[in-house]
Amino acid sequence: MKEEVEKELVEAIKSKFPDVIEEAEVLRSKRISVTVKVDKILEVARFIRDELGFDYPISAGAVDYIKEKQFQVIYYLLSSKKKVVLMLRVNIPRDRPIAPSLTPVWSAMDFHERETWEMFGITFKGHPNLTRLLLPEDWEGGYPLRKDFKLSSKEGS
Amino acid sequence: MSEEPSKRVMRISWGPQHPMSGQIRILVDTDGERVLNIIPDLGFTHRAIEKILENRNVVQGVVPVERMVMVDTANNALAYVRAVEELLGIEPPKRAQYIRVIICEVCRILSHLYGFGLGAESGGGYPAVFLWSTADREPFLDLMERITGTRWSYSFFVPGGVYRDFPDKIKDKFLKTLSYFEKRLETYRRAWFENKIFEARAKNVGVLKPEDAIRLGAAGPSLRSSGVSLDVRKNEPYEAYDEIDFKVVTLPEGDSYARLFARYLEMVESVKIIRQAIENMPSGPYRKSVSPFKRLPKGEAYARVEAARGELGVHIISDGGFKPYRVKITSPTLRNLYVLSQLPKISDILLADLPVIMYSFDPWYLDADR
Amino acid sequence: MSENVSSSSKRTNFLGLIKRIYRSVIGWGWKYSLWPIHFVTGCCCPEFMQVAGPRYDMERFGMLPMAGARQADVMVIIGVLTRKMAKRVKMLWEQMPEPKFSVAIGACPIGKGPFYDSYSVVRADEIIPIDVYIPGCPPRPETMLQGFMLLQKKVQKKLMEGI
Repeated sequence: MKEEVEKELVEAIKSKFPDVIEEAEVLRSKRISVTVKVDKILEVARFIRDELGFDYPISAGAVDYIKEKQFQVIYYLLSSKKKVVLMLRVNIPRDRPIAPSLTPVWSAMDFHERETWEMFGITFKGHPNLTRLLLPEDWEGGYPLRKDFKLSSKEGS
Repeated sequence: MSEEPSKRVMRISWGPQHPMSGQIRILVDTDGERVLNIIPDLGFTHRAIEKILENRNVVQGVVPVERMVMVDTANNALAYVRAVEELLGIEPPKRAQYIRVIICEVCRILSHLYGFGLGAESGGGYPAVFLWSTADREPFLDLMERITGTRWSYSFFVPGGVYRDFPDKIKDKFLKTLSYFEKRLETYRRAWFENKIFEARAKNVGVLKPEDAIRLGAAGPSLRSSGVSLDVRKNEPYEAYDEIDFKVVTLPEGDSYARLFARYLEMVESVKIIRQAIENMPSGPYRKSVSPFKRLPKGEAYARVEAARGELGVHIISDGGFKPYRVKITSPTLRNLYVLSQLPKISDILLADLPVIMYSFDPWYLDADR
Repeated sequence: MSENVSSSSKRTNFLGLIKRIYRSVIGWGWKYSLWPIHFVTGCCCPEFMQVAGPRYDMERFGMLPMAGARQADVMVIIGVLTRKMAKRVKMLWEQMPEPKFSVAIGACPIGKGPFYDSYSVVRADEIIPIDVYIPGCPPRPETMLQGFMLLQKKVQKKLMEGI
């Protein structure tokens, strides 16, 4: 009976999108993780929201894997009925960081995608208002959360 | 309506220097008294905590994280410490879990006292209630000082347990403080929540329906006072919460009065939780030692706790070094600020109601900015 | 000759005494009515609110938070000062009329505190001149009150030496 719900959800995603999912696994109780190819992420997102019931958007962030030369954008979603957290991941190349915005599916990803843009430099196509959220208006120092931005840097304004 | 909308709209900049704004600038577009648009301008307290944590080992990392929300320190520190423990694969001893629950619930009381004190001040100029709530925090701060050595930002939770055991005879002091506080809660209910003026100002103001609350991602008491029963302490019980009997405060109305009243009822529940935890505290070790000088195992861990303002999550990704590779913190106030910015589109708001609505979400901007 | 000198020196002494009494009364009035501007920058603010609360009453020293920059005497920088906020602090400081004073509360405005390697935190004395530094993270209320009393001494001294 352990992790039954999580396994069912993973199987549902794998069977609906067999060739688009790079990885789908149960990490532990109440945590599942799905890695998707970037060109199909909007379809998968709509399926996750409408069919599987992941209606509560928690947050979005990214990780800079500088050695593998890619960014990984992670969306954190919660199902209000099943109480399971899903981490939707997508890998994009580091020298061309463009990903489709998921604001048409979960509008609350607005602020989180803005923050990811200003911290990593990832452009979200289709975002209604990709402007600064946390950094000062005249920030010229680069993208702070990238691994090649060293702390105590004097590049800021 | 012969004038163009753009000529009638006035943009008010409610800036960081204002008695009732906090550390944020809010741009409000109004058409006369009706609010058309709320645009929060964040970043005035952005300290780059996520970047700093990549430069601290797991024992040092508690220090910046707990300063994210100063009134509710323990819950923030607990999220980080639990993520580290999940990554390392260790579980703290039972006594440490009960101690953590007690301190987290005391911090929840402190945070809600602050929250609804400010709500009272915004909702009719009741500085008396704000000063009462400031005074009522003092007995709890004294308790925390007896236990941890300082009033705020305890650095008391370490991966593996807690830093020190409870001192002797602290149980009597707890019971005395709690019985004093229960009398004070009665006073707040009679003086403020059953006050006709406050009811007129806060009832049916800024109504948030359940579907909108879930869709827009509201957090904490602001979500539960719209009828949605989501609480991490019940959905994913952590520490000793599965052995303690309490109920999740859910109110159906979804207006500002319900949001502030939900915080009051949560304080009543917190008192119950602390009483049970004090009575049933097991004896035994309070700490498993974890060395900060060993490499972290490769992998990731995402821990969620129910902080006073909502669900707070810490996601740690480690590549096998001494320090984390990436720490992502999900903040409840950032979600509530998004709900606030969408509120004019889903319900009618007048300019005069804006302070009450803002403070009913209990924002703490250092949490949104990290 | 010596009588003229002694009478003129007596007059100077008398005038000097009147001046000193006048200045000390004005100084007493100044130092017990220092109005800080109602402005919080960072995470030490709950402790500042406890100091303004009933137990460690700040108002008995005459410190009443004032809403407008033009009517305030003291700029209190409470907690972390970031680059974005620093611009506003400078603007407000320039709006405050003379004589004005400033207090930096907390370890962060003094030397960046626990965020010493952050790209976004600045020290307060890079932005405005600071009169009193109150260290701590957050400082205890008694430390803050001692800091305010030091500020009062400084105000009185400034007046006694002539503005």
